[in-house]
Amino acid sequence: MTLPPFEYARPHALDEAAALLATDGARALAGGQSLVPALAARQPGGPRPRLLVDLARLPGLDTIALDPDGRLRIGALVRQRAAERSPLVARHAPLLAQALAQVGHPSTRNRGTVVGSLAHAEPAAEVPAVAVALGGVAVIAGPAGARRELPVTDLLQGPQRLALDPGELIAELLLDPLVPGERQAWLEFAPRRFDLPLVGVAARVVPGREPRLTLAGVAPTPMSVTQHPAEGCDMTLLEGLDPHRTRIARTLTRRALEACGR
Amino acid sequence: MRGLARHVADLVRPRQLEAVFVRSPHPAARIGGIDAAAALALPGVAAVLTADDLPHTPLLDSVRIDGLLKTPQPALAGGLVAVAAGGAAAGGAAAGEGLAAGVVRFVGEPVALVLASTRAAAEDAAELVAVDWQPTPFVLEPGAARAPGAPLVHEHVPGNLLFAQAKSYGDPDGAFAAADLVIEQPLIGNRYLAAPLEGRGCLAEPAGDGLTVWASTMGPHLLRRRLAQTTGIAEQLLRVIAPDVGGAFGLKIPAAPEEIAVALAARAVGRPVRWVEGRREQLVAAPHAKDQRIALSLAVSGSGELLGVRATLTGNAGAYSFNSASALIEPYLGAGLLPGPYRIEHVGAEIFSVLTHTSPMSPYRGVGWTQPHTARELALDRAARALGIDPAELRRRNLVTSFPHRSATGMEYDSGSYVESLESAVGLVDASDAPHFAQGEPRSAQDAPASARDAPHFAQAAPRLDPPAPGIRRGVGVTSYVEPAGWGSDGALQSEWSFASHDSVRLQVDPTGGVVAAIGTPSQGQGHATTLAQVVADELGVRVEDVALIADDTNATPVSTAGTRASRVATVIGGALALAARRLRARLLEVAAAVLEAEAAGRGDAPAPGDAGPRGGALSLIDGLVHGGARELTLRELAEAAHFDPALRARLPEPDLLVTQFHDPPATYSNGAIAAVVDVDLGTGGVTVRQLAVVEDCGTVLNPTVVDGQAAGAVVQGLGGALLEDVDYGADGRPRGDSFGSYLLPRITDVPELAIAHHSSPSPLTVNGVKGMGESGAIAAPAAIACAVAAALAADGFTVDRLPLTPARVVEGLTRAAAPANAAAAPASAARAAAAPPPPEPLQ
Amino acid sequence: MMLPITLTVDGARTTVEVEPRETLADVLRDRLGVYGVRVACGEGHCGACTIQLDGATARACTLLAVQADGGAIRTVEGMAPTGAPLHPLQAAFVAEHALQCGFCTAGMLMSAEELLRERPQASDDEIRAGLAGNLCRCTGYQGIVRAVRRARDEANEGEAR
Repeated sequence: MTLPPFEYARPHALDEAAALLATDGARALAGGQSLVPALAARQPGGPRPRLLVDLARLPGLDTIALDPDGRLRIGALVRQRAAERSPLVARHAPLLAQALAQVGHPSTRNRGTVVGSLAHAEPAAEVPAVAVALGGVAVIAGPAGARRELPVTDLLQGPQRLALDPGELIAELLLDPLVPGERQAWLEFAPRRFDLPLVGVAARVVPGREPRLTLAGVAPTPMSVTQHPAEGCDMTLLEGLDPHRTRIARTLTRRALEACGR
Repeated sequence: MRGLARHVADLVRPRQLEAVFVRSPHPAARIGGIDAAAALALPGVAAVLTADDLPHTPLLDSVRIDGLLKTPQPALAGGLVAVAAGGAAAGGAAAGEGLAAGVVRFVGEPVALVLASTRAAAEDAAELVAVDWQPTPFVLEPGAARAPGAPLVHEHVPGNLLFAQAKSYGDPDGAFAAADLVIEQPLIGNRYLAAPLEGRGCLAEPAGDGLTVWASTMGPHLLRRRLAQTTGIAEQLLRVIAPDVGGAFGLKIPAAPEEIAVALAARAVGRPVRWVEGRREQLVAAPHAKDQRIALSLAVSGSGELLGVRATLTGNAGAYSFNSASALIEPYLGAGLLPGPYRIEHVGAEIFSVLTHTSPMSPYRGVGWTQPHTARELALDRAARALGIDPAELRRRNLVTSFPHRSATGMEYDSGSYVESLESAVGLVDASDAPHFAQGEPRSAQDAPASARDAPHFAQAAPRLDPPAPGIRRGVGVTSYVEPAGWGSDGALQSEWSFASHDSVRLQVDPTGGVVAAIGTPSQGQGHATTLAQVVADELGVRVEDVALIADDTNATPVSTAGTRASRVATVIGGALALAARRLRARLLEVAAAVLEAEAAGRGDAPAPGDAGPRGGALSLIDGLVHGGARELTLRELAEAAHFDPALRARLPEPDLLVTQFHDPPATYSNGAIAAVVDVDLGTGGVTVRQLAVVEDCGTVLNPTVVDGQAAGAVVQGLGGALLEDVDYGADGRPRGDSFGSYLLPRITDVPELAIAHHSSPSPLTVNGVKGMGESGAIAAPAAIACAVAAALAADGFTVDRLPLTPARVVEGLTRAAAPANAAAAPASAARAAAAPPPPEPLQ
Repeated sequence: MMLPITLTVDGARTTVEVEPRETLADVLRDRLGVYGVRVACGEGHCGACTIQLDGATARACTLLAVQADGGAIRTVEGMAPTGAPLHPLQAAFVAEHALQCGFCTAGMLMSAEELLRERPQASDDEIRAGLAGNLCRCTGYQGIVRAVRRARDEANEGEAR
């Protein structure tokens, strides 16, 4: 019930954070809504960081903005609750707002960050799938002011695995905005509502284009599929998956497309 | 409400140490040795105790039933190698002594106890205790455990069989031979547990030659007795206090090995020691509940008469049979209630209790009854479908209607509203879109039986549900139940269970006129302070705010044989308090008469007319005021006179305002019915409970709000057991439901708004006609929900043979039913039934 | 490593030295004696320890105390200090029998207060969704839904007058 011991740092600049994160056993702490429970569990194989680097006081990362090129820019410290209620998100990425409303509970969304949930890289979670569905690009900060951009599909390597080097952290997430006429829907199924879903589906339907579907919980990372005339989408990709998840994926896919008016 | 309650986790004593148990990660292992050096080196660590440091003190099963083998559980499973303990160790048992030394038998079994100045230090140290585990073969399922060559959980229990008994009432063979229809209903009942929000825990502090122990318990006297029996400390030197307790539901009846270990540890180190159970610790290592394997057969006539029931009930006992509850409670108690609320005259039961390498059994609300009830009701619904009879109608034809009714297994149902409750429950749900419910239309209040018309919620009738969307199947389940709700020696005899359930209470008016009721049964949220104070106030004739209830401290309360359990408090304690209050009232009126006489004599008046007869005969006590004399007297005046007026003592030989009252109530039985409407999503396997109606008849209702609260709580725990909750041991012998993230309690979003209605059939036998209540939902809600799911999916060939009905299980069952190879073999269950199910609808 | 942090707890400002690993629940309970904050699972699943940090609910068991440094914390103990009348939500909980053992109540109240503050007209579905992170094992949730509804309606009637 108590956490194992660790050290703690609260840097005030990205450079400083990157330098701390480059040290052995360092881990970034954002909202802590995934990390702290994992620490509290004290399970064999669970996280045992030497140092937690609290990103909370890094300047300029707590905002949501629209880039000049139209992309939605979500800072690493933006809480899930803030994004869920953001008029910018509602207008340009309603999929994200819909999905966030099903992430945990108000009291966890008040603390948890959008980027933190992405970085947790849980295969069935909402945010990674939505980030993939919306063509997400991670802006990665590194030691000595280094900065690079990486598509979320490349960032996510597997369950709880990211393509980050020591000392790197995700500073921002860039998302494609809604295009005119587009409809988006997030549907998920969990044995108990508000739990981590077994399967989630993000649907984007743009008139005149193939619908784009992204599935969470069917592969180690979110999987994008295109429509299949008979099935609603090409489910051959789901072969070999456990039949229950397959069934849910088919069902949610159909319902998500219906929700988008298909 | 203001955050002022105090639980064990909130208590702090001077020089207190925090205790953390080192527990087995293996379902079965020998312990080669325990090395605590690294743990002891951590700052703040005071001691690491193992079995070698503590007296060998096994907990024993106190249940006395012929043929039940005992497997004592040690407070700490032994290490073979003594380790240095920071504190002084009391004379330890020799290595290898005792049945359990050096062996662990379930994941979570405690092997060492770390004591440190903070919880964090104790947890850090516990991770550093190095145990040389030598894993051995293990067995998790009762079936496998009984197979030849299975690993033995205890060497002295051949075949891992703790208990086996066949019981027969009436002529079950004859009944089955005469049946037109025999339904075979297997059921794998899930292992789930009470999981109160506050875990277990205790704080033991040396006090002179004894101990003061604060414990999160349902029975402080019970724990005190166990501590005396196991630690060797004389019972009168032990004081057990139950502070505020955050829920219990049966889990906190048995004295835990951990509580014994903590008491011994406090003695060993001479300091207060506190243990606060963690949630993972509880879900893995606390005793679990339910977990019966059932094969039930129902013999039915062509006209729908229930002729007989036979069942093999196999309880998964876990690794030990210990104290208070016994490994036997589940299948043994289940057998007694096989006929349930029906006139089934012929009953056969085979009872087995089997050891496995899993956590032992604890009582949990509806002990023993839940899963056999579920199996019987599932079978009944299948009989109804096979015969083309409405399932409610089939039940109506077989319910007990005249009282007293002696059930085949010897229970005397004293009174009840079996048919009326069923009809009320059906009327409270919308069955119009569900198959197999002949009446379809919800009943209006005008159609309701007379006795239900006054029920507060009944007039609302059932809210209509929208028709199910494509791909959704709707089903209705309804079940009637009977709940043994009085106990006492009588009830124990009728359940053939050696359970002492009489008690005494003490009622006293203190010198300033306050009323103190002392009882040995504390509340864990059941509202005793409200209901029992009300009983005292009503019977005594005082205001409820003048009554204080004391229940939490063995030093301040009379011994309670059994504590708060088995729905016994209303009849045993409530009855005792009512009787005590009547006697105390008579005593108060005698005092009042004497006071008035003295005043009259002082004035030279003639005695008031009423005072000529038995003392106080014309006087009455209402809301704490004595009426009917020359003037009104307050309770305070009476109390002062009784305690301090010398003249009064001259007039009354015993002007004492203290009454003790023994009570051993006759057996009584509550009844009722539960109806559920579910939607099953064929596309996900998800089950949504759309409506749940509870009709409760617990005789005279002491407090309707408390009764409704108990009914609702029990029903929702039943919902959890039906759909969500599963300890679910994995192949590695570890429970998969090991946190509140994987052991799923119902959320507020999983529970519909309940419809609760009442009937009242006062018991002719108990004080004021009161019957116990509070377990029915846990007994019957799983059946109602399982029946509803089975009904919803009957056309798809789906049958319920296992709980909980998780989405994965529903999909698996649907897939199995749809597989062409299995389709032909599917109806093996309805042996002589030839009812063709309607063709399945196409999957949307 | 001990770090000084400053917290304002139910209006009282205090500075305490904490280990980084201590959760806010640990510090509130063990260092400050605010036992009204109850811990039932310790891993953020049950909501019993819910408090409000700078006006927003958070789970004290999964929030490091150092993360709350400088923050204003509200607990159940601050809703109606001893001697003061109950907060309307607390009164509604009493009136509707919304608690039995009471272990979940503090967290429920914190969540319900935020819910009604943000959505004064919350529908039944919104009430349920807003409280879905708070587990109760005793009541079956019936009284809790009624209590929040009652508090909502009473507040709205108050507004109307």
